[in-house]
Amino acid sequence: MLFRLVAKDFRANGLYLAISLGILFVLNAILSFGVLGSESGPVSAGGDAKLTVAIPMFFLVSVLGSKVASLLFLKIDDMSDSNTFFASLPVKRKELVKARYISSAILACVALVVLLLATLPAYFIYGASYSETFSLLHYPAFWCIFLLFIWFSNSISFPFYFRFGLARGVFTVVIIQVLLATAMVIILLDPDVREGILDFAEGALDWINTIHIALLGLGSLGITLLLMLGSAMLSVKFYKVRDL
Amino acid sequence: MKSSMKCCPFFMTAVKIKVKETSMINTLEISNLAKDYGDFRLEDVSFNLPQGYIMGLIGPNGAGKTTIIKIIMNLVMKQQGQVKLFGKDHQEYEVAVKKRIGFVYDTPNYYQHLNLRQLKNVVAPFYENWDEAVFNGLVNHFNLPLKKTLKKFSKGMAMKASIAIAMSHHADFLIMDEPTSGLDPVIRREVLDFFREFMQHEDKSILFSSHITTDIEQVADYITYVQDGRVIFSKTKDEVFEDYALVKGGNDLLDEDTKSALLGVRSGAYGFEGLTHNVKGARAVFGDSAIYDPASLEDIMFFTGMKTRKVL
Amino acid sequence: MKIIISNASSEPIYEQIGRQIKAQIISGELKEGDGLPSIRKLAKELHISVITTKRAYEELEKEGFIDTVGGKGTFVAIQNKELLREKRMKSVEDMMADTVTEAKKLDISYEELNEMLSILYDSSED
Repeated sequence: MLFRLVAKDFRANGLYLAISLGILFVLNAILSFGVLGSESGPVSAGGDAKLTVAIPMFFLVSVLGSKVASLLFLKIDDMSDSNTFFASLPVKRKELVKARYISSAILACVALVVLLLATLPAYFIYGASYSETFSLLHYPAFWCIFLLFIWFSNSISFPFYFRFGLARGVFTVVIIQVLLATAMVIILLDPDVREGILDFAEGALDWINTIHIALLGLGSLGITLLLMLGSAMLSVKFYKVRDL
Repeated sequence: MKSSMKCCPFFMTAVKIKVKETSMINTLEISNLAKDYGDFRLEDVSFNLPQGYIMGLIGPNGAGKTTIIKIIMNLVMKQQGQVKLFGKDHQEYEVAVKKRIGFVYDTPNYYQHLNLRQLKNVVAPFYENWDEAVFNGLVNHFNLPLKKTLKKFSKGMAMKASIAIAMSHHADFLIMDEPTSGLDPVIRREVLDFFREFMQHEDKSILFSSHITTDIEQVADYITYVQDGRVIFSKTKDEVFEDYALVKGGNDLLDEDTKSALLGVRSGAYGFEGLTHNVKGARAVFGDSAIYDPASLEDIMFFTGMKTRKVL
Repeated sequence: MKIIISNASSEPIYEQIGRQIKAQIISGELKEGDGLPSIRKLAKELHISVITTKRAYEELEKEGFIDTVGGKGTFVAIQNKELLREKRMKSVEDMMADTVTEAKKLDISYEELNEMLSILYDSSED
């Protein structure tokens, strides 16, 4: 049943999925050209400026784009009110929630693969002057970190969506984020605290550097999956008793 | 439609014997349902629908019809009371009972970008009993296009498509929220005729809500009237029309005492018109100088709603 | 079989059905062993509630006009010839009673009525 539910999303929303991924592809392809184009051109002040804009933009589009893509099915269901319809089928609500987690995780992967593929045209055209900066983009760890980040952040926000519905859930999450950011800024205003945190971060980084890269990867994956599991359990609890 | 044929024979005989013993199985049993929304409260809702009959759930907009249906389908959580479908608790046996239900709700606007065939492909895998032949039969019967996107469907076509989707897994119980509202008279009749056809099988039942009284007068066997979150009555259509009547007469017949025999009165310059739910009692009060006309559901709704309207 | 329902009539629908089926059995239009439509079929055709047709059939069964054979359907009962004749006589009597009431309202004397009857009786072919 779980498989059927996941398959249902892809079957029903294939068109929207293709369009969204298409947009991501084009956007990232253009950005890639921007990055490579500015690097391979004659070194000038203007080029540098473009580069400093293009690289962060690239990361932003990759992370935000795949994050948004991972919420695609949630968004479609929310807009078309199909939650009610699918809850009326002979399916447990628990399964509906689980299917959402799985399809979102898959969507994030698919989106990142598409984004990665989008860098290839620029790579092949400017291949001769393959740049230092651009090689960063083809470093697999980057994409894995992106993916884990999306899974991680979705795990935190999903229970809110299942508790309040997508629109109110997103609103709640944003409010919480703003509050946390404000709190952070206020804390960091104190130079002693700032010092302490920086020291701690340095120490933590040093410690992380001592760990084997494979172990580090597996560890992060494990933690993320655990968080996802806990999040799913919480979402099920919320969604089971929600009025649709 | 021969879903029952697939059941094992032992089970079948057991059920048949039971039918004879109790003579009536309830497809739906609702008792003491309550739900508090703050600004709206559903209270002490109880009624039964025996197998083999159509029940019309009627009441003004906002009376709680949709909430009741959503509670039955476990889309909205009840706070009190019990709902049994086919004799089983609707939450404990949620998946099992939902396999036997065909659900059509208010404005079907999900997955508008698909065509009917694609929608069918999305829904069908969820039902073990899905019957392609039944679906195609219904699509033909309703004259529905398979390759047109649902977005371009008229309201009537969308409703018929919903019915076709809801009815292709040999459902025993059809639950519909306002299936006929917003449809033109020709299509309304077509839909009602479909209900009648469906009811040729005595193990089937239908519950549908409507604020269009004539639809319910036409097809329902049982009528449940809901107002302000409460059940005013739930009985057979024949009983309703035997009990209720319009009393008409001169204003001289009307005083505080006689007024209390009526559920609602509207008096004009030339006489009064009121509703009674006890014709005999009213005859005893007003005698032969008044006229007793059959009351339509619309009359019943109008006059019983009067008290609350006046307060407002 | 022919059944026509009036929604405007004060006679309950189940009685309308019962009366019309009875009349057709008594007149011989419906014969012994003839099958009647199922209650569901009849309800669908007449656009009335199953409960109403069920009630009509139950009354007819009680009066011995029809039999319901479980699983097979409903049939016009094997009528006792004497009983049937009696029932048909009764219906003639009923009609005559109506005639008498109506005649009395118009101050028609017994002789006049008798005369009318004999003329009608003679002029009738069968």
